[in-house]
Amino acid sequence: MATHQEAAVKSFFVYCPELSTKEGTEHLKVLFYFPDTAQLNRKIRNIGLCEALVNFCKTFSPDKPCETVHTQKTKQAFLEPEPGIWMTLTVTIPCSETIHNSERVLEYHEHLIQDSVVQAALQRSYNMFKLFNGTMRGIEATQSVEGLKKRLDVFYSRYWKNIDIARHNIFSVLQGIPFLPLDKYMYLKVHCFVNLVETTFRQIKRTVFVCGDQLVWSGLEQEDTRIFYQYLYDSWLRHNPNPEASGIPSVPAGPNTGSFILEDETGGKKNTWVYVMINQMLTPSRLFVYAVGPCVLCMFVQTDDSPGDDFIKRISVFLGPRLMHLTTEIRDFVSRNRSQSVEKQPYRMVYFNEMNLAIKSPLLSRYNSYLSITQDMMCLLTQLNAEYDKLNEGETVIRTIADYWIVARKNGHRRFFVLFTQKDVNFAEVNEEVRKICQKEFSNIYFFD
Amino acid sequence: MASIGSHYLELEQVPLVFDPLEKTKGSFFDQGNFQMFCVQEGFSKVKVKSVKEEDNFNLTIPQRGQVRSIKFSGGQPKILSIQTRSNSVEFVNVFSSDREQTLPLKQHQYDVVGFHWVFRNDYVILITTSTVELYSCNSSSLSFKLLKSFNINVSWAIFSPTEYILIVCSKGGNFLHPFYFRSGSSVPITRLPKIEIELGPSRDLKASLKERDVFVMTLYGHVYIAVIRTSPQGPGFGSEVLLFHLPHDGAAKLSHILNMDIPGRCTLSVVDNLVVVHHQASKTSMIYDISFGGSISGSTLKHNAVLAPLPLSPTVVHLRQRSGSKTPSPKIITDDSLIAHDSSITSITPELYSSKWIFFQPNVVIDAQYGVIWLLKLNLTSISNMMTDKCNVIQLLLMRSGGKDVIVEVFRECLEPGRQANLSILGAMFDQLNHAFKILSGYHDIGPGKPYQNSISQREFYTNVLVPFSDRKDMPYQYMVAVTIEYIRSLNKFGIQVEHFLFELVMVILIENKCFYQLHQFLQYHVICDSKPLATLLLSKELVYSPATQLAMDMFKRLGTADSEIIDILLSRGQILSALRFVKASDKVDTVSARLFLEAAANEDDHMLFYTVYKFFEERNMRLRKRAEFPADEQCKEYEELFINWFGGKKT
Repeated sequence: MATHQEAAVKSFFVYCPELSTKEGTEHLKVLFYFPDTAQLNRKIRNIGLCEALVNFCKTFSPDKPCETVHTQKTKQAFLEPEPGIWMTLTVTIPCSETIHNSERVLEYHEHLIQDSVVQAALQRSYNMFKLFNGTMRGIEATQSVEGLKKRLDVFYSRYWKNIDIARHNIFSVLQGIPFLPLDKYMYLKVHCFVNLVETTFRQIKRTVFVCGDQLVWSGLEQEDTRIFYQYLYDSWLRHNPNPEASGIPSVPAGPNTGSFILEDETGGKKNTWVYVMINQMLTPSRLFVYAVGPCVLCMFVQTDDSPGDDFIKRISVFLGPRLMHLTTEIRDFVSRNRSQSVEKQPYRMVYFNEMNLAIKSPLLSRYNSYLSITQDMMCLLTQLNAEYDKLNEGETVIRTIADYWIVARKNGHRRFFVLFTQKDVNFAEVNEEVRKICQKEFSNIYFFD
Repeated sequence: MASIGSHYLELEQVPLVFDPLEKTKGSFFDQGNFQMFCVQEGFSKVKVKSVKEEDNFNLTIPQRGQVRSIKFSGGQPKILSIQTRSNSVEFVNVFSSDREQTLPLKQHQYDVVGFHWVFRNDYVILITTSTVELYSCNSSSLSFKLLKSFNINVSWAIFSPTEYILIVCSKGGNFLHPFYFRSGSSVPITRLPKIEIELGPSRDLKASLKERDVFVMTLYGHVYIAVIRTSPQGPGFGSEVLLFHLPHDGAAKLSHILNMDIPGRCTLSVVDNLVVVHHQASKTSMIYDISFGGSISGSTLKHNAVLAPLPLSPTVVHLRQRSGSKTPSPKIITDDSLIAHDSSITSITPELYSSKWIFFQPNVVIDAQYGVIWLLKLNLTSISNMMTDKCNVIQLLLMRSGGKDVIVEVFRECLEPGRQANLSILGAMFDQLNHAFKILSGYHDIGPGKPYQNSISQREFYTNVLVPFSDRKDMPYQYMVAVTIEYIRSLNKFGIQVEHFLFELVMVILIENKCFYQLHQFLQYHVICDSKPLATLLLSKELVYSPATQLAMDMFKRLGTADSEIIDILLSRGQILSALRFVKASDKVDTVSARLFLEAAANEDDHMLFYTVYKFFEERNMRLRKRAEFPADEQCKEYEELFINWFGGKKT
């Protein structure tokens, strides 16, 4: 019986070459190394090798010295998120044991772990750190290198334990944001509610409104929204009730209509510091997340002194009934328009717009398990997606060994993938089907006429 | 001008002065023609005073004793009617001949209670102690014909010359008998079912309804009979006003009750559909708006006063005695510059709520002591400043004829930095504003509407409220956007199409403050409606926000009328194949300019691209004209040469 080993994070390290200029002091460069169990010698050697690779590549490409390195057993990605600070992520390539000439050999499947996946995982690990800690250089300036090391350790030793890189795919690469389809008036109501909250509590500088696992409004900047949404999804939204899902009482019982969620690491305090751009400045804010049923209101609060229980109480009293009312309205709206929801489309499709980071895909939804696709298919999509990063425009039609069809399209900043699992269809039929989908889904945007 | 905070009702001087009571043998005000009759010594000379100076004249009437009532008919010729005896009325056509006729009464034993002209000079209604009689009048021959007579034991009667309603109170009971006059029918009088007024359990059984406590008034287009009565809880509990809605063809129904906390004598006026209660003892007045939802008690609504009772605004009258004139009556001076210097001008400050005051419907106040007449007016600015609930202010102002400017002022105060109103209140105010706008624009499909007098259009709101604040440095842009979006939300609520300048305002503020992502979300949800100017504005922001191009292109696409713009954008960005594909998809292949495409392709310095584009149009030429060559008017000569230059081929 052949055994199979999935891709896994082998190592992750952060280093700063300028911290050691003399031979014999190389250990000073190491800011963080995962796994911590590795011997110092090994850490220094690996970092030295990465440094050498980067420096070597700089000769040929000064701007983007070295992005990834493939070996037989690993893939390695490099990132310089802040000047002079480097991060490296090493991932093992999945392998399986086969019998070759009556000998047991390990076969490595390089295609099963894409460069783009490793790079995205690395970038994301930095983004998450920055969201909760601010920039590394910023910490170094205020708390010295030792302070930075401590912060990196607190954050990353926990972070990497929870990362399952083998489950990463096209969606982790795109990091898109699904938007809740609402009509103009319903959307305006949500927006006016957010305005009301922000003008009533002037300490609240920014607000993000999510329903189910879809975004409705974000007052953050786009990149911050993307990162924050990822965090929110992982920590809360993937368990959040869907507005359409049955079995949720339409009106929660009791006077406490809503509640604060997302406790910070220490627990209890129910608010977390996050660093987001406010008025073009990376600013630490306290994050309060209040939820009523599927609706989640994330508030970024800035105060000189810490907002006490009184603030929480006042805001809770204010939000509870109002958000309750709005939630009921959204729920009614969503159930009225259930049939038009893209999540209900029976296509295995992915649509992504780089410009607003909007993603639409029934494959994302937890409620469409019948649309599951095989890991191979997912790999193929991830691969196609990486190819399309380099293209401005194009169309690809693929017939796979398993007799599936994949159609990929890109026009400007929008890309679209669709997978057909029906057997015995020909090229013309596939083409016609894609035309129909485009007409139905994209008739009101400039996308592939 | 009333000082704000102490008055909300003012007296507006009517340019009509009459001889004070002490100088005459009786003064009679005719509400229908707005004329004052002052009977002189000897009962044969009567001064007639009107608002228009040319309508002031002296009359000589037959001397038959004390004048009990005198008035002109409406219409032409004007017929003078005088009652000097208890049981007859005389009619004189004073402007032509001297013919005079005494209206014959069938039953001379009945005394005349009152008489009124109905429909100009067409009919006369005569009320005697036992009958109500309608006569038609032939104005040229001054002959009268009895059309209809009702037998009622009349105690007193009131008549509304504007609504043509007669209310008769019968003797011995507290019954009101309404009569309604309808022009066009041969007997234009309808007797409506009588109304019984319960005067309350604590009242003396012998007490009866008094003429001074009953009024006919029109509120929001409906006729009401108002009755002042002591609260049923007893005399200590103050009075209340019962409003009976009087339909044209049915029984009157008690529909509103106005609560008054003060006991004692009151009288009523109506100003701009508000009921004003004047209380003589405390020298204050209160206003009531029956369109405000009151507390429901059965089928009636109970209302409290809109504001606390306050006195009328004090007023000064400036009079100049004209000695040399033929009619030596004083003239009212309103020119302030004259008042200070002219010694012939005397200024008087009439006592407010004086016992010499007489109130006429709807809003006439007469001071018999000084011989002046006022009209009661609202000071809307004071009212809006005194009311604390801004939603009620907007509702009240929307239903007042002069409320428009004050509404703008209220909104401006709500937006004033430092005193900014809560968005939920503003939202409710916008909803009222737009509800009124919707109704006054003729949409009737949104249920029963309130009787709005005015509304504010989007253009007016934008120009007078939003724009003055959008440039102010102390106005936080977030609040400005929030207010505008709240306004747009409200417009959407009532299905009113939002005008483009509101979107532009939002876009400009968001772009100025670099809130591109927020703008992007608005566009994504189509909150900001598509238009060519907005798409062009977006396109111009491409350098500061790269997704702007995509947004603009989508907008052009949705507009459906901007294909040439899309092609231009694609060509200018060197996306020539995309442009061709777009042309094909939108069925414009036969009409687009080949030169534009060839020029763009030639500029790209890509031979294969140029070849492709050239061949595409050659194909079109073949299809349209069966020849590969370009016609002369397409001006493609230089590109034909370029093609031959690059790829060779046959010369033409």
